Amino acid sequence: MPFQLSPAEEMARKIAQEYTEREIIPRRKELMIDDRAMWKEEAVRQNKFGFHLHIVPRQEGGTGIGYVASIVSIEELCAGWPDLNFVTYGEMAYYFAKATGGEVEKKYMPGIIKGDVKATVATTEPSGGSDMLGLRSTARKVDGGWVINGRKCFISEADCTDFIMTLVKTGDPNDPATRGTRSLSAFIIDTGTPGYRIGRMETTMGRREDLAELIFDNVFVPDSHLVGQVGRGIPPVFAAVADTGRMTIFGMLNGITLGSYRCAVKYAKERKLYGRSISEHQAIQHRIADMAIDLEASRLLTYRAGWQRTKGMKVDGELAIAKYFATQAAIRSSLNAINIHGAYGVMEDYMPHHFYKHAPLRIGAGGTDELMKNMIAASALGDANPDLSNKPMEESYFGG
Amino acid sequence: MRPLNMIICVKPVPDSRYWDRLSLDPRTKTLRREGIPVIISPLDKNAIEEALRIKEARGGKVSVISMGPQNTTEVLAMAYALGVDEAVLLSDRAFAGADTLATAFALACGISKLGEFDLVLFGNESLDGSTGQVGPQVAEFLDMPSMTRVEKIDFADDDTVRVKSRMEGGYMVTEVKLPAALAVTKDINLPRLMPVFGALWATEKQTKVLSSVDCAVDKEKIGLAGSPTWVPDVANIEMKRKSEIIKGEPAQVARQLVEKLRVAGVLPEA
Repeated sequence: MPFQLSPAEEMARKIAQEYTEREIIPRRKELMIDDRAMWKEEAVRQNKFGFHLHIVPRQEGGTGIGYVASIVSIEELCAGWPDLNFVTYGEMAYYFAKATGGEVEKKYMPGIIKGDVKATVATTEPSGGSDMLGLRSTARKVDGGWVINGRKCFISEADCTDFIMTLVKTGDPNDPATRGTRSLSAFIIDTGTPGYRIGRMETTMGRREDLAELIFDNVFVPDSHLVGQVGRGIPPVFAAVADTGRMTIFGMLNGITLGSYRCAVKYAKERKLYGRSISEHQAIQHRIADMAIDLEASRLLTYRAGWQRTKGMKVDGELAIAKYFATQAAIRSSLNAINIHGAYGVMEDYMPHHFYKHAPLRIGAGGTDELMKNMIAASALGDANPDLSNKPMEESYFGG
Repeated sequence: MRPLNMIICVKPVPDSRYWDRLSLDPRTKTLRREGIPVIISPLDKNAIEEALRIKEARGGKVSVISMGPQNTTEVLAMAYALGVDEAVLLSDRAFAGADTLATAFALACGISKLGEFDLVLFGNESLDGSTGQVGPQVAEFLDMPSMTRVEKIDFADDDTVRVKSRMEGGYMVTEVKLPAALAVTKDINLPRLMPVFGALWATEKQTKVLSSVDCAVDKEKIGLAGSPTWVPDVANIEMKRKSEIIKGEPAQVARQLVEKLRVAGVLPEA
């Protein structure tokens, strides 16, 4: 069993590392003051650079190296700054355009390959993200298309993207054929469509104006913007969350763990106490050892999941184990970095402060810890890989 | 505008981020480099960037050449990732232990095996040795004009470059006939980042490895045998503060301290 990255994946890491050292680390001071304009500028720069092309096959204009190259690239970006990752939104744009096909693919694909187009997924509503049957936004069939009404919340980078994929109700609760999981359909909405607007921008513990509320007020989309079939909206959304969502979150989590580890090792060697480096104290050494274990274990789990996904394997259980462990490892490692830095660790001018603030943000993204455990248990108990399109909602699991 | 064939001499150097792990081997008088990642010497990246820009404007071919052990191919892979067309490595135990002259001789022999060329580019000096000697020496061996500290290259015509080079207190503009050797400074350009497709170029293009036999070199002129200079000794500079403890009553100690500082020239005479 090979326990090393391929030469192309290793080079993908070096490329992302060089990018981070030139474009992100020197701008940490700006990022610390939460400059939204700089954020948007970086979104354009990262997308233009083309990190998202690692998951795009070569015959379509990508590098085709695969999900592991994507994970290691995001890992380096986020070790530079814990959530400065826009690779997700280029990957989502590709993924959604392919899933929709037809006019949408034709319209957006050239821009996606050039790095001009980004997209995000909008499923969560105030009622929650995992309980998809509780969604209230609707699409009504009209001549030549659909009219969408409703509200979505906690949507990442919605103000930086060109289109979204959303999940809304199209079924009739009185019709047994369109109830339950068959009541939901996925649509593409161009962000410039009349009636589509951004509402409140939510500030999270990581960033000001981090997540957006989206308002759909009689938004008309043509039939070509329906993703797949009517009443079969869950599989493409679920696949998007699993394939592009969780895979890129792996990179973000590893980045927090790696960044925490790097700054803790550096500080432990430099900081003198009682006449010697604190790295010579066993208590500090044990914390460093814990961080090294968390980093390596997270990498092994997440890279394996990425490798399996690149091979086309359906690996819900492995993916959930990786997501759960990497989340906990990032939280533990960033806290260890704070402990090693002492009082400096909580200061805004020091990176542990930022790694620690961002780590919990990844709990909800791509599914909570509890949802991951449900998936792991389902996999362990023989309920792996259910056919989501035919399964009642109560018996399956979804990420939001 | 005619296309140009350009060759850049690239030196692998220890990554400066890991210099705290470097140490001197007191027996061999060389750096212990085990476990230290190796990178392209920074100014050599400026030279690669300039060649790529010239190629983008005029067409042609960009090759890099280096000398070192087999694992130097990892560094040359980074040159491929930047977009060069060809990488050549001179690798043979006979090349080992070379000073700048023997290095320049080997590089000149390697370059002459690559066919016709118009420009040979160098970083003005390497990150580790910093002698700045190899570029002009290669030019001598290849019998062509050379300029150092180059911070701008323009074309007067297809066969002449107009070179702006830094001098103490100013700069000099010189027209140089091709083929020529130019050693560039960091001010000439900002090297591009390796693009994402560099991950493919780096792994799919193969470095061509040449031995001393392939280069048909006189073995007395390469490696340790061909080196007129060698390092007889190295010493670690120990930084230590001179210390002296003055005892007595505070006022008396203060007077003595001021007097000692005056004697040492730290304070002006009263």
